[in-house]
Amino acid sequence: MKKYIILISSVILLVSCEKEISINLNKTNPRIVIEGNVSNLKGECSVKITKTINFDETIPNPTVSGALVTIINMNTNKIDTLNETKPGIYTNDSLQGISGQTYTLIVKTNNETYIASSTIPKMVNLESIQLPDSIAGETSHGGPFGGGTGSNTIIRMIPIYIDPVEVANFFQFVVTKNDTMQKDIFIQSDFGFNGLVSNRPLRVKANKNDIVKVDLQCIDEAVYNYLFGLNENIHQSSATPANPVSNISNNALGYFKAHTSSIKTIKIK
Amino acid sequence: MKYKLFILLLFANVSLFAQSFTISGYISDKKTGETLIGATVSNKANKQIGVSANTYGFYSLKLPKGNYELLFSYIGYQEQTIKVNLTESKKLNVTMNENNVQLGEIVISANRENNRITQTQMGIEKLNVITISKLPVLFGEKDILKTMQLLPGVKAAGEGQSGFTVRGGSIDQNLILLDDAPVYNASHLLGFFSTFNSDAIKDVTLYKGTAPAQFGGRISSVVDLKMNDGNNQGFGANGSIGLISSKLNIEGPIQKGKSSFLISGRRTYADLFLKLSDQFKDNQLYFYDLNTKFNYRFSDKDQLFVSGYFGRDVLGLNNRFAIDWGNSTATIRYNHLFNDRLFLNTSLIYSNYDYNINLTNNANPFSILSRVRDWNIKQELQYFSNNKNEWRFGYNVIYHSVIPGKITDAVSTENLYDLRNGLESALYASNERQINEKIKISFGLRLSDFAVLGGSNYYVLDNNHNITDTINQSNPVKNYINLEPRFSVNYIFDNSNSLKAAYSRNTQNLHLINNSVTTSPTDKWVMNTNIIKPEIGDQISLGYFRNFKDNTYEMSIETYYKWMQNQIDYRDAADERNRVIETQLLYGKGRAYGIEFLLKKNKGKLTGWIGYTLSRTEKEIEGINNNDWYPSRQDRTHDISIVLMYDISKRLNVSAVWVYQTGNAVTFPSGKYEVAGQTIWLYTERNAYRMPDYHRLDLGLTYKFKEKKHFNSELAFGLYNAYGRENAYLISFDQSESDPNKTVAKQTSLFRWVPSISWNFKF
Repeated sequence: MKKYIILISSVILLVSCEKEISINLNKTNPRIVIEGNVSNLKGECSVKITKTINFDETIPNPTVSGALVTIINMNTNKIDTLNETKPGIYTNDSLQGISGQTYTLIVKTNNETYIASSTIPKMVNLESIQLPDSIAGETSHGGPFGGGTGSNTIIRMIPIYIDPVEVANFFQFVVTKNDTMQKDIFIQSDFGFNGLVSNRPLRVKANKNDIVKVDLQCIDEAVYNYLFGLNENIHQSSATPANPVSNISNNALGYFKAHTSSIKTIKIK
Repeated sequence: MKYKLFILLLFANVSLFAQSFTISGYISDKKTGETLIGATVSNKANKQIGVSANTYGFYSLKLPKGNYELLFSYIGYQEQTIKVNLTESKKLNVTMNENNVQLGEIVISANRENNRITQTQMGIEKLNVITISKLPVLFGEKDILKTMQLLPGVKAAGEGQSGFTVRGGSIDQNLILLDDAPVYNASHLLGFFSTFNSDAIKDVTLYKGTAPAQFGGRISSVVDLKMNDGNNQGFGANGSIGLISSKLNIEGPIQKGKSSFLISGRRTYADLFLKLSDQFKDNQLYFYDLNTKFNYRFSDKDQLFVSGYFGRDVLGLNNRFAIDWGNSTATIRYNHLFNDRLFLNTSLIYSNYDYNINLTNNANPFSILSRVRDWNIKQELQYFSNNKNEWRFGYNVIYHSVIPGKITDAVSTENLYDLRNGLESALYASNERQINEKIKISFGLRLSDFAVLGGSNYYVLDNNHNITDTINQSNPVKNYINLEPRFSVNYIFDNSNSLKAAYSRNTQNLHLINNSVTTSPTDKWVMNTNIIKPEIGDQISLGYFRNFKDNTYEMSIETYYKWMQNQIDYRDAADERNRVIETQLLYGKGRAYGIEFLLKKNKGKLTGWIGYTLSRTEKEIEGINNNDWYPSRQDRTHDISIVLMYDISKRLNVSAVWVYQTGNAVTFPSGKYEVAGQTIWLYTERNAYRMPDYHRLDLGLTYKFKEKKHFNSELAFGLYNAYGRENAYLISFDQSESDPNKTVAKQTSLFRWVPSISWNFKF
């Protein structure tokens, strides 16, 4: 709605203007940030641990080394330990998740323990990817939906999948373009679309001949809610600007995501 | 039987006087036949004895047998003296002439010059349409609600925001009534215009504090708007042509002196400018609205009014997304006079607010409808017991139905959210009486009930807001009963000094869940459920009122403290589109307090006012801000408005308005971190930061052309934001363009220097 109001004001013959300002923001105590993943694919298990910084400091934020990181399969009680392979990044190449099973992440660092649980939902296959627009088609507007720069064009990619008949299924689409993971967070839920063949589009910036990989991940509701909040945080579109609600205990930021993966690759024509 | 006895006892004092008679009738404008709400009648020899006309222009004055000179007065009208020899009860309908000498004079508040001193109610502001005609306004459109926001205690929600807040309440806590019909969204074009076309409005009363018992359902304020009845003496038309909107108002008699009609319409054409721009040529943006009214007088005892409003806003983007929204209301009222002291009004009211979102861009286009609809019956008996004692009894039953969101595509229709129905009933009685020459009191009691009707799913939640059970029954799911007392007292020191105190409790059963950043026409109206409880507001207020120099100056100081229970806010990182909205909400309490100063000059070449409010509004909600008190978004420490109007000559006048406000309370990030390769903002407290202070100067100039016999016109120029202040509409945070690893704050402002010109005419 903010965008419409700016549009209206700029349309009614008047200009709205944007400028950088300086605001005196409070200092904060560093808080721990954990990003954890377990997939039904081998080699996808990783946990990244960092710390927050003040608003006026420079990214990247500091990593946390020397933590003890384990993942427990709550159905089999099997315990896997993750090793620090790069500063702040912990991995385990043998751990492979299974649909329907619940995983618990335990991170111990600096005399604090952080715990999170996530369940891998039922597998849903990505049937195909449709490209309704030709690359010469829909161009970026610069208007309220704009934002395209350079030669990149915003195109619609429609991932086709069949939503399970049960209510409350949640999906994330991880898009990789020419081997670079795209930052956009695409999520869908079956609210209003339950049990249907889904054909809601993702808007992706792309050029002709780009190789685009779409990974359809089934996620649980807590992770969906986290990503929803994360998206609102990034776009500052939230009803109440706030930290996304994490599924990790002890006041940690970030999330622990156990998910399925179904991947399709397409070349943009 | 006991009840009857009680009523009899209440009125027992009536017949104890010597033989006395009642003189009663209607007071109206001679030229147009419009009834004059609040015009006063008094005994010229002893002005202490007097009454004022009710909302239908009806008065009833009781006097002992004898000869009298009755004085009829109304601000902006020539006083009229009528000699009466009272030997029996009499009907006397009076018509009054507009005071041409005073026509240019601004009428700010009262019907009588010292009304603010003598009336019992406090925290009350009356605006008359003449008042607003000289003030500069955005886009040259006179707007009675915008003018109201220049009074202390009333604050605009902000530039580009719909609605207004009263004494720290939120925007949904104002009951806005157009001819008795509740209006759910009083804004057009996302807040740049109000839904009320000033050509069609006769009178507006704003109750900031203790509203009489006939009003209920919102905890902050009541804005009671009355539409014009239409000229019953002769046909007339007036209108205006402006840069982005035009309007036309036509009225006239159906039977001279007995019945009349009025049709008033507006349309903006800002979208024509869109056509000029390549970028926006496929976009649409406009609103229109229509007010109609018809009235018929069957006899001196029976009168019928039918009035309606319809308005719509349309916003379309690139032929792929469109949203339209608007209110419609209809009111049928029937007045019946049982005798010269007993007045009955029956109203049947319909009111509707909805919005439609159309998405045509998808593989399968669909639309989403959301709607609030009311059917409402109201009956009120007004009894003029004697000149010092007036009673009202009434009831009001409203059937509310809400469709929160219905999705329709080519093949099917589905309700995304559970339908909600509720029955709101109220029974009330109030009395206003003069105890002695110094003391006037008014008290009232309202008994309200809200039944959450069954027939759709309701949910039971655990402490973590997870659904644990579903309730589906045909009987009401829950009943909320509340007793709402009101009381006010006025101690009149003398004709120019008074002290008032008041207390009231109000409850609210419909709540607008709006996000904490901006308002939008798609904000959700929700009713009480088994989980959402009625909001309860208690307010105490105290005020000192003083007039100077023969009522040339008016001064008042009012202070208030308000407690609010069952306040609602979104939890952190809420999902507004969640299937069960209760899972996204948190509840707690609120408090608001403040002091309001007002100094007005009512007469002379220079008129206007200075208003200042010092206030605070906070909430304490479990789960937000570590359960500590935090400022509400509309909390503004300082608020100043200065309004000046100066008549250079009979035909030329200039005006200026300056406003200053502390910025809204907002939530800004204090730190940052990275997740998924993106910069994420770290928030620490809710509403702990402030938007920059808001201030603005507007200038206006009106030139009246020479009056012709049947045609008057004037040109009005305005300059909004004359010194081009870049007021912040939005502050956002982003990566710096020069160094992507750094972050910056960016401010978006909407307007600088908006000039306007409009030509107003009347024939």
